[in-house]
Amino acid sequence: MTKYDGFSYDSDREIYSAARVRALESLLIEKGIISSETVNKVLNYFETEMGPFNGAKIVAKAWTDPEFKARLLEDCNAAISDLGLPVGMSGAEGEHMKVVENTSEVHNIVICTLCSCYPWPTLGLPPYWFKDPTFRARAAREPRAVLTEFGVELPEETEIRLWDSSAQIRWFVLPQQPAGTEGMSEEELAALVTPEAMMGVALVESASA
Amino acid sequence: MQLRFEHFAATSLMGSEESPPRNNGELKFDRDWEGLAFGMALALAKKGHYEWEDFRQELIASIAEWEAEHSLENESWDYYQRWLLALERMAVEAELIDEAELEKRTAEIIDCKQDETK
Repeated sequence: MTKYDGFSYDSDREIYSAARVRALESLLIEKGIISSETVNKVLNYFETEMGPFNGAKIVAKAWTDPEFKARLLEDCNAAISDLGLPVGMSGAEGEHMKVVENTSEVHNIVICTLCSCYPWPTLGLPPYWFKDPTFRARAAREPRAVLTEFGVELPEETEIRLWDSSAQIRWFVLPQQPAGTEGMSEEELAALVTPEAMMGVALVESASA
Repeated sequence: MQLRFEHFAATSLMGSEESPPRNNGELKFDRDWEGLAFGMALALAKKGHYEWEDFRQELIASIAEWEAEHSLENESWDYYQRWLLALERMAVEAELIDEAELEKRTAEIIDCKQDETK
């Protein structure tokens, strides 16, 4: 959902802002304060090094490699460093990240009190509603109703467990692999995994669904 | 464990209303200049021209200024306009640029663009 659609920016202000940012950049480059590559390097970090694609890679690996999955559930940090993913993925000071697995019996949801504890290098930057006290309170009180609002319908008998991320332990959910995707490559599988699925407020769906 | 500056800076913005717009776990830039402004603000702190926390406080202040003058439903709200204002102020304060040369260069770029479209 984006607020941008259909909303037109004041065109004079737009031209001015765009020009002002370019002006600032050109002055800083001229003075040797930054280079023409500096900004790209910073943005590249967010686009390719730290983001939800890391978590998706971990999930896809776990789906295709039972030994990796066992190690991941036992010692998430160790399993992640085996994958050669960037240092600092599990959190700022090497806090422990733990993985909980969704099965047909148990569905897990992650919440957090302070979003500074959110493992964004793995799951991506948290959505606005995630830190909303109402979401947290309702997820704890009536998780099934909250899941329904997210479009997730679970069988009556599925147990729902809630995990509160903290400075000590950051949780993430290993979603269930969707039926019919058994023959897919890790890369294809990773493309199906969304940040919401790794928080437990969505299911992973096969591309054809 | 060594912590990348970008990691630290993004984490420090996650707390409250100064958090940047995002979509599906990634930063969301609607216009090219937003990404440029975002990247420059981080780069200048990374290079030590100002403390990241000082930028963050300047951003909070520029958001508060807007809120003091507008209702929360006002549609002209624009996060990266506030970000840009904070960035300009920090660059001037750190004596990297002065306001007059920024004005002049901005005017030149606007004029040049207008010439192109003629």
